[in-house]
Amino acid sequence: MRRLWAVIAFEVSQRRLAFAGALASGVVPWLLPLFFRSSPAADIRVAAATTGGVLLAWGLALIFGVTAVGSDLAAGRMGFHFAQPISTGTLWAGRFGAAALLPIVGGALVLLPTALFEPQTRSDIAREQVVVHLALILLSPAIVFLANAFGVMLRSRSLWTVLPLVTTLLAGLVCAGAYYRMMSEGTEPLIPIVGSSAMAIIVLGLTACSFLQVSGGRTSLARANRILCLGLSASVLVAAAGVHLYAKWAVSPSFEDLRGALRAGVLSPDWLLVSGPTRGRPGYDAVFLLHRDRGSVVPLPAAHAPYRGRTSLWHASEGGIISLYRSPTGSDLPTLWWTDLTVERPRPTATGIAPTRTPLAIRLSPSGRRLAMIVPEDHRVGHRIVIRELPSGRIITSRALAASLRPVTAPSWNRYGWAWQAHRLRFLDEDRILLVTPAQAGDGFTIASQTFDVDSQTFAPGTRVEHLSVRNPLDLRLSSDGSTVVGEHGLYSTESGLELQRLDPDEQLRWQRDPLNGGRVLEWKATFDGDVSVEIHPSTDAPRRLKGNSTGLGFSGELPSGVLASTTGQFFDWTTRLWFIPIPSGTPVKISDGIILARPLPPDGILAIDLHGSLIEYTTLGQKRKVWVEGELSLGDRGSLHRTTMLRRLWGF
Amino acid sequence: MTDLPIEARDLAVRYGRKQVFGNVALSVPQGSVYLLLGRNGEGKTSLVKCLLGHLPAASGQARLLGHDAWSQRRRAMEDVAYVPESPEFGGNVRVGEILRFLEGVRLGFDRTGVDERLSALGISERSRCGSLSRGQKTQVALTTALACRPRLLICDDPTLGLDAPARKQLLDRLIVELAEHETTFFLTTHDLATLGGLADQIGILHRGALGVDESADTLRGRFRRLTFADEEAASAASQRVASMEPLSEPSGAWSKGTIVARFEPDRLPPGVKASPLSLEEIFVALVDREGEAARA
Amino acid sequence: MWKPDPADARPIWKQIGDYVRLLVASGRLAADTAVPSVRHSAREMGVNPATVAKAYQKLVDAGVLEVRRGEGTFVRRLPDAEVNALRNALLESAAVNFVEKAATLEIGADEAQSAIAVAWSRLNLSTTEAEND
Repeated sequence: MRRLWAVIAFEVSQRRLAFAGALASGVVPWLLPLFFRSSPAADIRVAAATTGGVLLAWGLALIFGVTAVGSDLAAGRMGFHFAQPISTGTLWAGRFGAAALLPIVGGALVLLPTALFEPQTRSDIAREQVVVHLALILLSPAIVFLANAFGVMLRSRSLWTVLPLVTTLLAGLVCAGAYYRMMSEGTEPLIPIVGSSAMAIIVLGLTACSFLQVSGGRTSLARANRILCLGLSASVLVAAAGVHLYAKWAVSPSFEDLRGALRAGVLSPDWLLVSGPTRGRPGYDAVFLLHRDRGSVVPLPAAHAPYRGRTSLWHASEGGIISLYRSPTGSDLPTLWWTDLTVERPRPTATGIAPTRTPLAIRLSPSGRRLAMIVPEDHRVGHRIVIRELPSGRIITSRALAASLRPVTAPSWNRYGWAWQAHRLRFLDEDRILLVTPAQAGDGFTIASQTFDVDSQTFAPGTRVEHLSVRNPLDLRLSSDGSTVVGEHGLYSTESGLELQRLDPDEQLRWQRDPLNGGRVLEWKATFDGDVSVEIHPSTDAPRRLKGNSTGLGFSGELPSGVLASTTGQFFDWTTRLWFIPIPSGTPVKISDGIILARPLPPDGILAIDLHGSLIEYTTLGQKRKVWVEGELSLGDRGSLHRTTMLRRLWGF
Repeated sequence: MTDLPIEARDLAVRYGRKQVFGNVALSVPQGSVYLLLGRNGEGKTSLVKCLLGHLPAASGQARLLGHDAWSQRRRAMEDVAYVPESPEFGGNVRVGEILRFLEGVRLGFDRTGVDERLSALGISERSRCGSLSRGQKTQVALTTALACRPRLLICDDPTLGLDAPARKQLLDRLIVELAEHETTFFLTTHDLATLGGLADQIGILHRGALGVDESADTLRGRFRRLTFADEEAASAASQRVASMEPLSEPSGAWSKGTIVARFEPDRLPPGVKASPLSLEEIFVALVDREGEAARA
Repeated sequence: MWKPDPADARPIWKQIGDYVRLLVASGRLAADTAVPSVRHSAREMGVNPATVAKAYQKLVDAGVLEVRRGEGTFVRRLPDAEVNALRNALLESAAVNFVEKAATLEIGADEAQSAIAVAWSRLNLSTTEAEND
């Protein structure tokens, strides 16, 4: 240690002039405001201190890096040092240590006085600025090693210098390829991690090379250069290989890599969609199709993950023959993708349909070969119905809807998120579509039904329910098939226009009413002790209770078997409870604590993910079946569960 | 191998594909002075660098005081000091900084007398190395090297570029060191006029090999210049002369003569005069055979 | 200031030894005089002190010098016979050189001897002159 100190002291005293000059410039931030009176003095001081500190540190690092060993080596003065009883390690550590630490100290001495004494830096923004610049100053050692490498290579004027140049070029090409691959596969969050890891490898390589250069090259510039060139090329190649291999691995996760299926959906009786984070790929969610019985897995491109962004646009036809979704999300030109789920290995294909705005309603025909969409006109006056053929995307028909009504155009926000709810579309068969439209008219809302014939392109008007009043537009709710609508006073049939149920308009603590199939309506209320009360009309029974608060309140849907599935949340906890409510009795049955429901619902049960990360199915009899038996998916910590709960609120349908 | 100050076996050094020297064997006993001679470019400095562990040997082994020169350099350098050819420290380095550095790095650094000796030469602690003359730089290098109290001192052409007074000062310094301590010296030089008197052992590096490696006395003892009265005397003596390892055919403008490497006084033919040679003349004779042949 | 001859075939230590013998034999180095220290001689002659030490040692072994403990190395008081032997030995080697030179010049013994006489008279003249000054 004594010898190491002697080496460092010698190096520092050699550099004292440069360092002292640098320190003197630490005064500059305090003087600059005198010259720039227009801006606030504190801003200038902070800016000067942060920028000055970084520039000084990097400038010193450059100079000291080049002279750490390089100038003595080139001038043949290293013989003196190697003839002393100091080990290579001590010599290297002393020289490069001094060269690496002095710039940090210098930069810090310029930055810190202002950072500590300037009151303005107490603000968050300024503090962040200081921290960022301090981090940049701490990068100086990397510059030292880089400068040493360049200094030696340039001074030696040897052909060996070509080698690292060539390998860097090669590595650059490999990395560019990996970058494009990762971008196109939707793994952008991983790119900064990979990039910084590659940089770290190269910096470590440079550091190791500088040591090998001293220990192997000793007093000879030519030998040192040769070792440096070889070592640098090797590090660059290793980094590039690492990047390439990681990119290759990152874009092709296997089903076993899933670390928590945050989202799952049922696309058809056979196929589930499972999506979630994967091992070793932070910020990247993989998507798989999972066959419920066979257990076979089809990986989908990551960019096709459902529920990404805020609009969920997965949609399946009846019987789950065909699924349709919009992807890739977040890109400039999203198109609709079409998947035939009856084949052995479903594969999404692009349809070429690229809606520029979120459609107000969308529906697949029973066969899945036709798509009906209601889209706003370009100038936002009126709506248009468009029928397309799938999978080609060819427009079969396109007709403007009558402008006499002013439809409720904005997709309404309800607890389930944005949804195509403004209209209800239902294919009566392949050629006829029932269209139920809520519209604002004078003193209330009107629900107008009409049937559109695809071949004749004509509208046959149906029933209208008029003068519907609601406390606010969010309360205007159509049933999913459009056959009933609930307003403030009651439940109405859209087919006949008649009132099916009378409801009390003044009920307090009422959240919402959901129309069910078969002319029923579901009413949610809060109880005074924080539970949820559920009532099904028509019913003479008293309201039933679901234990748990409304934070996790979700009405997942009505199963064909006459059972409602619902969830409630808990105070101070992010778990949810699953309830089945048989409609005839209206008595809720608690099925499970702590699950996350999957959507859409399978026809014969509930698909969910429990807290252990297993995909499970609950039959309507309350039986539980594990879907995926090959392994456990871990949902991770409560934090990820929290995120999941937040995301659930964005689920559509 | 033993703990001799310097011991080398089968040493070879290559630059790329070119071999600088090969098959070099050396033994330098404690307390002796070894002078390595050789023309410029014959590899003296490379050999020194190899012995110091600054250059790896292509084959063979070099040991200083029992430690391997390349792999145990640090341990070897505890007791070894080195004065390179034309010593340089960097223009802005002060002499005092060098002394402080060595005090920190060398265990037995003895600063007594160093400052006085340097100021007698006009060098102060605050002098910058860039402002020193060549002789002063060499003196700084030598003084600091000797202040380390080494068991072995290696100097590469210490009198190179020095004027006569500086050379004398250097020689004097070396003699004082020899008189006061048991230090072993290994010097490479051309300057036999100054340093020849110090030598116990002489080595000559020529054409990639250590052609000569023996005591100075023996060397001077066996070389003679034979001068013949005339051509007949030369041819008459040719057979006897041939057994004495002549370096060339009898030649000369004024009178015929030749240099023999293994002189035997009792075999000296009549009419042939044998005169001794200085070390310098022996060296020139051995390494300048090509030049002599050209002149003949 | 005497220095060893680099172009002399004799080892340096032998040259030093012979020189000291000359000084003793000619009386220029009197008995009981201290000889210069090894270090001093080495510095003056520009030679390895070990060589000077070896020369002194040989002289001590030969009885020309003696070491007096605590005081140094001194010229031994040699008996006259030894001094004369020393002088004769030195003169003989000088004579051999003279004869070799004469032989090279193909000068006969008589002519050589007359040359000696001439040289002698010249030397005597200069000594007498020196004595008279």
